Parts: sequence; structure tokens; C-alpha cells
Amino acid sequence: MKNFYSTPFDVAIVAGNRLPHWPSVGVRELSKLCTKFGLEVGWVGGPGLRGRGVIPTGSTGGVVLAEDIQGRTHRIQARAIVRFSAPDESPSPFEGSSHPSLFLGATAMKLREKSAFIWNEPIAILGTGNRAFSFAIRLLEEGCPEVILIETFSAWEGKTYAGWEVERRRFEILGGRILEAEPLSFRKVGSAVGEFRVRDRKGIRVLEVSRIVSFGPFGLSEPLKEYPPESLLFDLLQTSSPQREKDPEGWMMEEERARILASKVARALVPELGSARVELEAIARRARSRMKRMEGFLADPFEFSFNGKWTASPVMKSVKAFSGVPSMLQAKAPVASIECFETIGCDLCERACPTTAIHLDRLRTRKNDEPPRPILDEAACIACGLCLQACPSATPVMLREPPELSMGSVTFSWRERETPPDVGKVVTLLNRRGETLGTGRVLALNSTEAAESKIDRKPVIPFSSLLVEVEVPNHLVWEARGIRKPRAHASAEDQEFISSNSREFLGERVEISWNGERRFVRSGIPISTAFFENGYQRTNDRLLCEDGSCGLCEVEVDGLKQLGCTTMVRRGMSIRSVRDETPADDLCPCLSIRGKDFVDRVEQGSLLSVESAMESTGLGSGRCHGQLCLSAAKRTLEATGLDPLETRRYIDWRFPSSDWKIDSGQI
Amino acid sequence: MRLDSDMVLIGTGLAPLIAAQILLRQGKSVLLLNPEYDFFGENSEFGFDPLLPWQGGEIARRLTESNIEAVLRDLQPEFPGALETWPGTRSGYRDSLAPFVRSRQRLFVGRVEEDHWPIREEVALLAMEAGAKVQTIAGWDALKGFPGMSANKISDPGRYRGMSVSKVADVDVVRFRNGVREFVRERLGNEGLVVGASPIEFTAEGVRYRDQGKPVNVRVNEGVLTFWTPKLTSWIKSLTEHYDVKPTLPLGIRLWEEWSLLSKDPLDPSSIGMIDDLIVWAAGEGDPIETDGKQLGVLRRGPLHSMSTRDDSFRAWEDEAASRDSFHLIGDLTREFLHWERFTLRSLKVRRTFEWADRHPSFILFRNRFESRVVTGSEGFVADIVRTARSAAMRFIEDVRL
Repeated sequence: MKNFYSTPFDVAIVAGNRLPHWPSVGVRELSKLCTKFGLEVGWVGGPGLRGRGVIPTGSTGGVVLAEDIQGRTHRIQARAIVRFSAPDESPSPFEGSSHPSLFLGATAMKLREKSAFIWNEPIAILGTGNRAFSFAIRLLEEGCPEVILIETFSAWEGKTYAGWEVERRRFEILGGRILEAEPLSFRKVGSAVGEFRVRDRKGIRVLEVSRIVSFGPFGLSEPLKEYPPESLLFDLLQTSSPQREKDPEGWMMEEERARILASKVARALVPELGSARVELEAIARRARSRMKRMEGFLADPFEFSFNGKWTASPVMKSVKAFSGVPSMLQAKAPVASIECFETIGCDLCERACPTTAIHLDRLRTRKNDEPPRPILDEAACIACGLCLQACPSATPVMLREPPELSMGSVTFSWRERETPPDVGKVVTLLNRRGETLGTGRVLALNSTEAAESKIDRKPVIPFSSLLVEVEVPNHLVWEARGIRKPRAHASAEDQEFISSNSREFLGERVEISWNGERRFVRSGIPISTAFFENGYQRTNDRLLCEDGSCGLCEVEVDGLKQLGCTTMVRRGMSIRSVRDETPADDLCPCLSIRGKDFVDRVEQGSLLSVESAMESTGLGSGRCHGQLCLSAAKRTLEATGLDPLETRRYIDWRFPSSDWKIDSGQI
Repeated sequence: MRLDSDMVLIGTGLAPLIAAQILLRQGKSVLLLNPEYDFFGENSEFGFDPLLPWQGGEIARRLTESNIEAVLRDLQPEFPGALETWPGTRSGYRDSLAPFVRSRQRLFVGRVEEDHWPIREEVALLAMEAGAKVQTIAGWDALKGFPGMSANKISDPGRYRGMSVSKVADVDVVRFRNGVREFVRERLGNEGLVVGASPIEFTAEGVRYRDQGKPVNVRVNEGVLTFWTPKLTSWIKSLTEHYDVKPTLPLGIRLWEEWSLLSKDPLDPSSIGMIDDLIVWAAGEGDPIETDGKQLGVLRRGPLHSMSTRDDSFRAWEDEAASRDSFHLIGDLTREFLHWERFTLRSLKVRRTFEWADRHPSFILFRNRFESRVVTGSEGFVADIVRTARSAAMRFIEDVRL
């Protein structure tokens, strides 16, 4: 039979649907370790070879079906299969959770980075993980007037939010707000404004926001799962970004999980390991230890407390005693201050420092089983500012505090889209939660050029190259951690805001017919993206998958059904919507299953496994194969106390997770 | 923890649930143990009898047993609620979520040039003698009712001929199993219906197992019935070796592939088509008229694997699931026969059943203070499973009385 190829491997690594990048660091690390121990590893992913489904076949491992760029079918048989999955960001269902104005985090990030979509209205973000913080910070830096982060699951061990304290601090300095609340309902009350009702400890609040972005995490999940148990069929969450600097925690966590998995797979598949067994166990043990250290911020959170606008005295004492801040030399010259008090999985300042003045004390902390904290060697600091630029949270500052003078200075990294204040201008000084402390004067604008890291000789990618040195009263040197340009005349401010939000995505605009009406849209972008850019939001475009995996975004193009995410806009095309919009309170938009009905069914039937819940309700068998509903359904069950056995570890291997159109002539 | 029970039932699917119901009706105390996490992981239960291979007198018997009236006679007494039928009366109350027993025509289509056709006609004659309503048809009439057929593209209908058997039943397995399970759970409670009970061992007094890591000992008063499905094969084999029992073993384990394809046009739900080793039908639960009716189920009868070398056999399954041959057959079915230009593949499930030479005799594992029996025939067509479970339970009660 032509066009059918069969290949055996020991380990097949498969890209799941909607993966933002491939191969990620976990894929590479897993492959490296497996091949080191003599296993044959095959990758199924990327545009050249797309995984279509995994079929568990019995004992261990299974079969992966894939399609290559020429439409040929590949059957890859493997003794162990690892699927890398994108994070699930669907919120637990509430009234209006299927509203088209609710975007998933990945969709929102794509629209922010690749599209001319404008974020100039108040936004609510569900979830308080680092990805949520990072996105919110970018929006605020780009001029979004209001961003509210809503924590729906405040049980992060010792914390009330899921991310790092430094990210929270940066978010609040920029004017963001955090609420611990449960979403109740969302409905549009105008063309641009929606009414988002949430319930917090004090009662019901109504937030006026234009859109909701759902990031999560919404509960404790299992990033590395095996299902069925001992089947060597794994699912590993892709937490890394294409660049390490964008999300160092996600990058390192994925790397460590891949090491643990490689150790498990090699021990299961390599018959005579001999002394290598000890090595594998050591790899897994070290990885677990590093992960535990990186998650130290959850168990041992750092919280600033304030006395009015001022940092409370005991906290300030611990700040000044911290190993990463200068103790003496700031009296003579500017010195970096690495105010990262929590123990987090990030080493970007260490990597960026050209003189190794900053280092993470891994040896001491490993002995005490503590996570590494930054240690500053003041004498070695040359005040180059590279650490300020490398930090994703803009946490480091440079301090100068001459005791003989009344004025010192603080240098900040400028990340906002608007132009920095001119030298000599007055700026508003902000404390660590964004409250106004007073004013300072800009002394200098410096730019830095990033070099390569002294540690691994890889280039350091800065978040900005501009430093703003501000003269501040000496008593504010340890308090002022943010600056804001003073508010200008209203019309001028508006003009500046509008210009700051206009993106350079002009490109060619072409005329198309849109449900019978003439429209001008950007040429060469996917139809789904064009819908967003032109204010025509559909629940069906929620995943914006770009790989056609969910099949929800179907439209009729010149009379033929096409997927909106994979069909590009071109001049003269006629587009018609072919699907009705989804009711706003469905758990499953594909099959119109309501959250309440799902819970009732599980409760009435005393259903004990995820299989039984799905078989009995039909959940996950709709068009998107559970991409929109499955995790939300699991959380709903957890929240109602009906959690069937093995819910967290369950992996839906139903094949394929996407539609696979086959030309029957080819096979 | 220590429990007492008249009967212990062990199994992964529908059979122990049916047996539990019957034994409860007889006033026995029952403990039901499932080594799997739930009864929904069982994939050896079919909603209809595949009736493959279509040869031998056995098919005639199976056809009459698959008749809707016979199936309803078997299922209704053991189901604790209403069973809906299709096609049925449209008036009055219909529970759209109840298990449906659909009556469809079984349409067997073959090519004129096939050598086996006379053998198949003989089978049809035997079936007619047994009371089945069989009709032979040719050409266009044979093809037009086949599910998924693009009737306007048929160019050479004369190449085909067919046989149709009317009123053959197919059942919503998941709904039926769930209904019985809910009823049994209500009667037994969580202590009496244990899932994830593994490992299970026999002791002098009864049965020992682990429930969520905690060991539980059960004193058995009358007996243990183990319903053997392919998932329990390695455990049953180890038990037979341990107790030195030499039962009649199945010929092997048959691999079935259930493909789900998406059709461009709505499908005719009134017949289940058969061609070569493929069964083709409009898939879906409940009333076919209420569903979108575009999902085409294709069940492929795969290879048979010997029971002798389990590990090798398992490896061989992996070699053959979704194989080149499978794709070849699906390609031929869709392109050559149904005249589809493209199809969308939605899912593929691998199922397994036992294949026996003639009968599937149950056997006694040991008999001391209590008796432990292994019941075969606990997989396959759902009506067969109900019959097997009922007869195993009733026979045990009779034997105890004697």
C-alpha cells in the first residue's frame, strides 16, 4: 500500500494540539537522556509531521498515527509514548463563561503579540499564575487603563495567589489590582462594556470590564501524568516559552520534569542497566530536589506589609538584611539591589551579570534544603544595569544613598510603551504597591547593550535597554520602587494613549464580503484573527489554535467550508459564518452540555471514574474532543466534592483529538 | 477489615452486575469486586452481535437470538428501568436518556465474483429455517440501503448482491451498563461494590483484596463467581496454574478495531451493513433521528491471537492495531465501495473478545469450604452477556440448593 509508513521506536514524543512551540526544552532533554541510555527516540510534531492520535494498545506503549506534509500516513509504534500538551486555560463554568468576550490566555497572548487587536479597555484576568501576571504587566505597560486579576482558587499552600511575589509587586506598581473572588456571571451591557459579577469575602462586586482573559492555574494539577497507570503512556505539560528569558520558571520546571520522566522510561525499558540505574536514580532525585527548591515560594511566601504608605519597620529590616541588596557601597556609588526575596526558579540576573557580582548560593541552600537566593557582591558590581534589564519582573534597581547629602538616586528599567520622561522632568514616585510617595527628578537616561552570559556564553535577551535614573530624597531610596510620568492635559494624554496603542501592523488592507457586507481587513492573516481585529468575536474562535485541531472555527469561504484559523484572508473572498453562537452558560459549547446538568448526572449516578462521567454525559465527544471542556469539568467535579477516582491523572487518549481529513485515494 | 458475604462476584464489566442483581433478588448477600477503576473501562462489550464470520450453522442461531423480540425478552427483566425501542411509537412519554434497543436491518453485501457466496446463502437458509426473516437482493437494491453509500455515484451496481435480515437488535451498551450499575450500587452501597480492588487473592476463608491500599478480608459463605473478560486473562491464567486446573481455553483473543468516521451527508440509520470483515453503521446512542447521524462506525474484525504466549501475543496486537491492512481496508471501503472522496477520522478504539472452538464452558477453580467458579462468555454481544450471567447465577443457586 502506498503512502503508509510504519516505524517502530522505543520512545515516541508527540506534540499535542495547540502547542505554541516545538520542540521545547522538555522534548530535547527527554530525548537526550533517553538516547544516552540506548533508547531509540522519535519525534512527532511540528509542521512536517503532525501527530493525529495515540492509540493505547494494551500492555505498555501504543501506536501514534501521524500525517506528514505530503499527506502520507505514518504509523509509529512505541513502547513508551510521551505527549506534550498545552496548558488548559478554560475557567470553571459560570453564567457567561462561554461569552465571546472571554478569551483564553493563549489566544489573548497571540492577539497581543501577532495581531493589531487593541487592548484599550478595562480587562479582568482570571488566575494569578506568572503567565497571568506577565500578560497583565505587559498590558499595563502598553497603556491598558485597568487590569484586575481575579484569584478563584486561593489555596496555594501558604499563599493567596499562584505566582511570584516579584511579579505581583510589579503588577501592583503599574496600577493593577488583585481580587480573591469567585466569578458569578458576565454579560455585555454596551458595545464595549460588560458587567462582570464576582463574589468576594465582602459580598458581590460588579466589575465593569470589556473582556475577560482566562489564564489559570485554577487548581492544583498534575503536570506529568501517566494513564492508565504503568502503561508508559505519559502526558507532560509544556510550560516553557520559546525563549528561556520569557518564563524561566516554566522553562526550568519542564526541563526537570523531562529528566524525571526520562529516568522512569529508561528504567522501565532498558533491560540491563547495571550501574546506569544508580545514575538514573540520581538524575531523578536531583531533578526532584531542584523542583522542590523552585517551588519554595509557595511554601515560604514573602509578603510586604505596610504602615500607611511606608513599608512596615520589621519588613524593612529584613529587606535591608537580605543577601541580594547592598549594605554599604551604595553610600559611594550606584549599586544594584536584587530585591527578589522569595525563593523562585529564576536565575536571569545571575546569568546577565558580566562581573559575577550576583550569584545564587546553591551550595549553602542545598545543604539546608532551601531554595537558592541571590547574593550580591557589592564590590564587584560595576553598575552596568544589565540585571535591571534582564529581570522579567523589573525587580532589581540601582541605589545611591550618599549619607552626607539629602538626595540619593534610584535607577529603574523603563518598560512602558510610552516615551520615557525627559531628563530634568519631574516624575511621580511609587511605593511597592503602586501608591504615590512623592516626586523625583530624572537625572539621566542610559541605555545598556546586553552581552552574552558569563555562565553559558549564550546571549542575554533584555526586556528593555533603557534605564531611568531618578533623583529621590534619601528617605525614599528604600521605598520608591516605581515611577510614573505625571498626568498631562487630558486631550494630550488621550492622544498619547491612542498613539501608544497603535501598532505597526498596517499592512495591506483588502476588501472582502463578510456575511454579505463589504469590509476592509488586513490581508494575509487568518480569518479567525481578522474576526477578532474587526470586533467580531465568536466563542468558536476561542482556541485560535492555528493548527485546525478543534475544528470549531469553521466558516464558509466562497461557498466551501474552511477552518477560519488556517485560511488566510485574501482580496475579494466571500466569508459567511456557518455556526450559530453558543449559549453563554454551557460547559461544553460543542454539545451544549450545561455545567449543572453534568454535575447532576455524576451525582445521581455516583459515577466513580472519569470514563464513566464522560461516557454517561457524552462530554468530550463533541467537535473539539474535550479541548474546551474537559479540564473545566474535572475542576467542577473537584469543587463539588464529586471528584471521581484518578481525575487529576486521567488522560483522554481518545483518537484523534482533532479531525483528520483523509483523501481516500491516497490510501 | 473483615466482612462476611454469601457470594463474591469478580469482574470488570456488565456480567457481574447482572449476576449481582439476580443473586440479590434471591436474598443472597453479595460483594462485587472490580479490579479496574470502574465498569466503564471494559471494552469487550458490543451493542450488537457482529455475526462474523458469516458462515456455519452457528450464525443462524445467533441471528435468531439477535432478533429484537428475543433481545428485549432477555434484557428487560434484568434492567431496573424502561428500555426504549426504535423505531417505536412517537406518541406518549419517551425517555430520551434511557437505553435504546434499536431494530435495524442487517444488510450483508458481497461481490458477485466471490466464491463464498453459496456458503453464505446456505447460512441464510438455515437462518430462515430458524425463523429469521431473510431476503436476498441484488444490484442497486443491495447497495442503496448501505450506511454511508453515496448512491448517486454508484456506477456498477450489478457487481454486488446482498442479503438482508430484518429486525436485528442493537443496544446502547453504556446506558444499559450504567443503569444496571446504578441500581446495584444503590442496593449494595459503596462497601458492597468495590472498584479498584486489586490485587485479589483467595484464602481458606474467602477472599482478600486491597481497597485504596487497605487490606480487606472477606469470609465467603457460599461461593465466588469470576467473570472472565480479556482484561482478567493474566490473573485467571495465574490462578489456573496455581490451583492446577486445566480448563478448556479459548482458541485465542480476537482483536476488533472500531473506527469512527465522519460523513459529509446524514446517514441512514435503518440498517447495519456488512461487507467482507467490516461492519458499518450509523453510530450514536439513543434515538438516531434525534442525533446528527453523521458519524459512521466501522467495526473491523482483526486477527486472532493465541492464548499460549501471552506476552508475545500482546506485542503482536501492538503490531497489528491501526496497521497498514486496516488503513487499506478503510480506504477500500470509503473509496471503492462507498464512493467517498475524503473522510474525516474521529476515533479508533481497540476491542478484544475471546474466540471459542464451540462452546465456552465455565470451570471450577477449586472447591473446599466454598466454591470458586470462573464464568466464561462474559464479553461480546450485550444480550449474550446477560444470558451468560443469568444462567451462571441461577445455576450456582441451584447447585447450592442441591
